[in-house]
Amino acid sequence: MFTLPGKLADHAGTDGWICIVLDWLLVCLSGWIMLLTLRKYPSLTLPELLEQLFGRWLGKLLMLLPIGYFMLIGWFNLATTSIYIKNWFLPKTPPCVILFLLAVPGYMIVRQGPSIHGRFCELVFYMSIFMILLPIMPLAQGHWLHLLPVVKEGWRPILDGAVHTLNAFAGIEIILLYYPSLQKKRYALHGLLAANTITLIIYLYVTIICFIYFSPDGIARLDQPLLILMKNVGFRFLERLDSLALAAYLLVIFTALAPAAYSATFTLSRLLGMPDHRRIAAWYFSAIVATGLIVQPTWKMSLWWEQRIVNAVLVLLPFVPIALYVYVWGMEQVRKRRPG
Amino acid sequence: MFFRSGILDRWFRNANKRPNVPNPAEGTGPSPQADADPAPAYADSAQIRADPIAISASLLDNLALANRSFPQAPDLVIRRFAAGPQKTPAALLYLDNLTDKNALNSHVLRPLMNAATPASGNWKAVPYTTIGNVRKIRYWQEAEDAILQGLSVLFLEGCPEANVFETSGWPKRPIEDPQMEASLKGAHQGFVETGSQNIAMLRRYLPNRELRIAEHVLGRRGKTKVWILYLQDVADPSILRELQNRIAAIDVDAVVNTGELAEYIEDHNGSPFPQLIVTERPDSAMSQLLQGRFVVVVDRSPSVIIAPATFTTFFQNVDDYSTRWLIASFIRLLRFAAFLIALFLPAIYIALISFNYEVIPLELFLSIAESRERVPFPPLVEAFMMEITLEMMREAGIRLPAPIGQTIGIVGGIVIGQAAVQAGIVSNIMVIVVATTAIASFILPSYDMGTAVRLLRFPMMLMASLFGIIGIMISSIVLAIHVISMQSLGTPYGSPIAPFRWHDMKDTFVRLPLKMMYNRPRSTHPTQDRRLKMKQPPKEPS
Repeated sequence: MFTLPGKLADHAGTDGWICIVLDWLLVCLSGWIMLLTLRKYPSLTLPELLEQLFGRWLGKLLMLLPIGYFMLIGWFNLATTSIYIKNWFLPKTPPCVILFLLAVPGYMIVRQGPSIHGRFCELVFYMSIFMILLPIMPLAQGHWLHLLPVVKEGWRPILDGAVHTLNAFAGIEIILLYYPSLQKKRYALHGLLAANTITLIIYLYVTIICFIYFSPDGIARLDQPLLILMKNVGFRFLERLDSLALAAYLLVIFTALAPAAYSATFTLSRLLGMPDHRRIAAWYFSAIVATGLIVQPTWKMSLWWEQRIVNAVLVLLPFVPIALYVYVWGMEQVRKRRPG
Repeated sequence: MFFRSGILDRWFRNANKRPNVPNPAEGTGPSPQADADPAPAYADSAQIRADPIAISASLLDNLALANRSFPQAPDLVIRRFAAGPQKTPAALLYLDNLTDKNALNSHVLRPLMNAATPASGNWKAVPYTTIGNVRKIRYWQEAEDAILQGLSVLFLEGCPEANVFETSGWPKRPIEDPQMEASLKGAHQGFVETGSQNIAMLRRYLPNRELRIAEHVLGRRGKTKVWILYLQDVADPSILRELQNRIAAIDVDAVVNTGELAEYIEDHNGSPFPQLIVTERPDSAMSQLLQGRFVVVVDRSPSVIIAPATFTTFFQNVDDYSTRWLIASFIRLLRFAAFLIALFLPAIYIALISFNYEVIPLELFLSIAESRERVPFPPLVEAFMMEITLEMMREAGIRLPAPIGQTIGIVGGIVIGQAAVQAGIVSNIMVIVVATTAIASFILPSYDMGTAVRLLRFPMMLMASLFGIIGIMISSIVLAIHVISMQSLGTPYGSPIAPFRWHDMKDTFVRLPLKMMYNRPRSTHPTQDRRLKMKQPPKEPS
């Protein structure tokens, strides 16, 4: 969320907020198609589903794809967070120590099941919702004129921006792993739409405020416009609120980390035939801390990996649900024709 | 396992099949009701099976057994006399000072020894006693247990059964205001050390048919009676089963205090947070019963356990419902603020001074720097020193007699603090921080939760000194995850915050008017939802 306005401005100028709406549409559709597939197999977890659809060996092979993807997302999340913390709070602390600090609550929450993840996300939502009020303060110094004219350079840059920032919305694939644990599956679609819409509103809000506050050319050169914006927010008794806001944002980061790491460790534990995912989770987080020892995460590295993730998401979000659904539909047709 | 329901069931069934022997001191003939009485709680069926010495018909044999069972017990009184018009040799055994002398003398010995009492149709025409609760027993183990619990046992020559009279009366404490849970407007009665009196107090608060009591006996040597009270139509039966299983699984010498029992039956022993409420107030126990919770009364202990508990129940006090709802809401919010202050304030102070000083406005920062100028220690050491000194003073204050306690409070708080600042060991701001933290931690109504907060302050301070505000955030995330992943007897501990229940929020952070609380809170899974709705009087035509 911190780099989003900068990247949007880079690709699409100040029309970048339209890209967010386009992304939202795409992700809602993608999630809906995933739900259509999952509704046919309501109580199967993802490994069981893959085995049922593709047979044992191909299913196990295909399980490696979500494992790799989610592990990458989890590691990327933690590494980027450690970069932020190192830059803004603890410049002299070695990165592996920061990663260890992040890995401890990460492990604590990943070892619990989906219901605890749900409780944690709900709790974090209620605890951090007040932060939405903080960026209102620089609004007085902004110029709404920056947003006009709308669609100034045509639709091409907007589509370009939408394609490159799709990973901001990319959490929807955890539906594949959390769907069996839902108690009220009828409301799955409502939940999906509500979550996406909340994300849309927050991103739009942040992006528009950044576009209003910063100059249209300057913002494309900024790495983290939101944080720089928050530097100017202050009260009489608390001067620099951005450090507090970034620290509070740590809560939200764990809500993104937990499902990704849980998906990865759960699928891997089922692949290896282990009854529960806690040992794999311990190994996973130790491995992440160890990579911090070997390789120091830098901003450049983070940007490079982000590019790879964007490419992966571009394949994943639009095409995989459609492919899965078509496959399931095809299997049903074949099964219907067989007895007759 | 000590108290298997399997063995007890068989004992019950066998009790109905025992041959009907005419009882000397009770009833003319065998009646089905008299024979089918349930197992006495003081007789241990497993021990009877292990050691089935029956009461003999000869009085001298019984007395010899008594002298063997109670060697070196000078308080055992053996009163031999002749009972009834036929002057049957009899002996009454009891432990001195465990019995109610009045009841024993007037209602047991007098009718039995008085030849003028009209003859009854009893065995050898031994008269009736006028005691309310009389039982007959056949095994020596039961007699021993009965004597040890303050009851008196009557042996008659030639009768193979003995009679046990309910004459227990040990020294009791008068009912006083509970010390740790004083209330302004609530009742000033607290539980006492006798379990039956506590149950009587609860029955006074809830004279309802649905109040059920399940009795258990704990401890091989202690033989502590434990009662589980609940409302049959409100409480969740699966939680009741879980609670009974846990109590039945305890196999120890003795359970001395309620706190020990709480530790045996709680879910997460390693957590600093309490998962069961321990209270000394009957009115607070009653309101929890009405919400569908279970009250566990332990004999010989003035505290009762209320299970299951959630995190926010430790912030509720019975006074909240006696004061006006606006004031009560304000005080509830104050308690939550106090919890946060007591937990985070020293850590925030350390973090802001060592790491993130740009957050403090410049004037305040200058004055803090000025007061810290002479202090040679880093903020962590300063904070630890002050906090540990405060904890020592607090612990010392518990054991000091009242007049000295007041003086030490003033001396320690003001004089030593001021002297320390002037000597340059701590800074002014540190004294203020520590004092505010101490006051905040006294606001929490539950002692267990208050001590948990006092304990958690120290790791929080340590993390703040190592990693600044990120350390505080990580520690609070760890705490939050820990709290929401705990269960208390199968119900989620973090409810109603996580899982969020809008309906229960009427009584969590604020206390909404009682008219709006027409349902019971969902966190206890009550089986009957509605408290009784107030009926509006019919409107008069104007």
